[in-house]
Amino acid sequence: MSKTSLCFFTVKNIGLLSCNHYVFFCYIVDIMIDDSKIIEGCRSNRHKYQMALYDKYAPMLRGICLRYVKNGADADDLLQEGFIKILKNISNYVETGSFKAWLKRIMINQAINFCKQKKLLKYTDLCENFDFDTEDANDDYDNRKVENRIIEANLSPQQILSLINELPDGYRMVINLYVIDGFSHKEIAEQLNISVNTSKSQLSRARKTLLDKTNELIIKNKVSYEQEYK
Amino acid sequence: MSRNINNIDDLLRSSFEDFSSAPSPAVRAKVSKSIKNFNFLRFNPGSFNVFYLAAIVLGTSVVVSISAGVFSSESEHPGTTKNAESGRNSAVEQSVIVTNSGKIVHDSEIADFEENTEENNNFPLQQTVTDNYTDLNVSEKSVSQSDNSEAEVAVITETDSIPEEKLFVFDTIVETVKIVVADTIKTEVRKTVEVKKNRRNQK
Repeated sequence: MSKTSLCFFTVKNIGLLSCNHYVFFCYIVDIMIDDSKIIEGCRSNRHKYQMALYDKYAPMLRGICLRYVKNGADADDLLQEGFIKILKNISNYVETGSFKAWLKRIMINQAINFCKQKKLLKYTDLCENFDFDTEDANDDYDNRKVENRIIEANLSPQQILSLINELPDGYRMVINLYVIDGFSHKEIAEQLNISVNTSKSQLSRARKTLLDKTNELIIKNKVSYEQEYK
Repeated sequence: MSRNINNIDDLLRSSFEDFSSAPSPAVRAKVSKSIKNFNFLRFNPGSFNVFYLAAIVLGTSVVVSISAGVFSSESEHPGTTKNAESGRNSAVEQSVIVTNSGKIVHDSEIADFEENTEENNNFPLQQTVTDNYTDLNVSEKSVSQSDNSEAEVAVITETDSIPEEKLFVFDTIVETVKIVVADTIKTEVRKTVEVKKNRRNQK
């Protein structure tokens, strides 16, 4: 007896849950199917398993999309394209590695291609002779203080995401790839067709801009909080 | 949030490690539709349906009709290819008489013959020719002659029907196509039945 029919049997006999509850219950059971079954089902192009894969991983994948594109509509388009790409390539997945990491990697590549296609990537302040040591040393002390303040402020992911979305496209792309997704500067340079130095300079400036913006937000929040309680 | 977070990079990493955002049901419906299209375009024996069968039948009929068209055009306009080929070599068309014994009589030879007969008997050309070839079944044909004066004679049958060899080839192709289509359909149906049986057994 399958899980779904077992659910139906239980629900029918207990008589406690309505039809809507039954559908919801089956839906929950279906998305609880383990990855190996889902992968096998997707490989044989079975719609039920493909949708189970979507239901299980779509929120995580949309989270990635939202980091790379600014608005929700683009994120949805990207999610759809990326998901079809996942289904196309699922037969190539070797089950030795992490499935989640594999999905993430495909979605990131798709996001990069999406941004390239839509010409969303514009690099501001391109500087090939960027002196990282001097620039970092000058701001080191100030940055440290601001960083501590930001960490203490305990911002939510949504707040940080909105701050990242305010960054110029090139900054946002590099900070996402390097800091959050763990790409090296060499990999970023290859993926975005830029030099390693450009990648480094974009990252350094992205960090600084993000710190400034976060600091501004914290100060603004603090002021509004004080005004509220006075 | 502040555990093991020493700088902005750590903060970003920890914030987005498990970050997720649920897509709307409209997106789910869109994705479901595009998955169905994707599955339809990808051939899968497990989901063999009437559309695949229609595609096979259509493809077969196209192949058969094309091959039939080729054969009928060959029979209607024999020697067309040869004429086209010789045309490339700036061929000169000449009227000749082909006898049943395969002998080719050119215009020039007829002219010579005419001269000779006129000199000897003063009979008109056509009558002489007819007299000389009354026992032979003759037909006038158009052949092409290349620059080096080697005439390429179009082979034509007296009855203008499709040669038996060609008919045999055509029949063989049709039979082969029929067998292949029947085999494909049988195999696909067998596979579908097996897949369904397996599913039933799994259940």
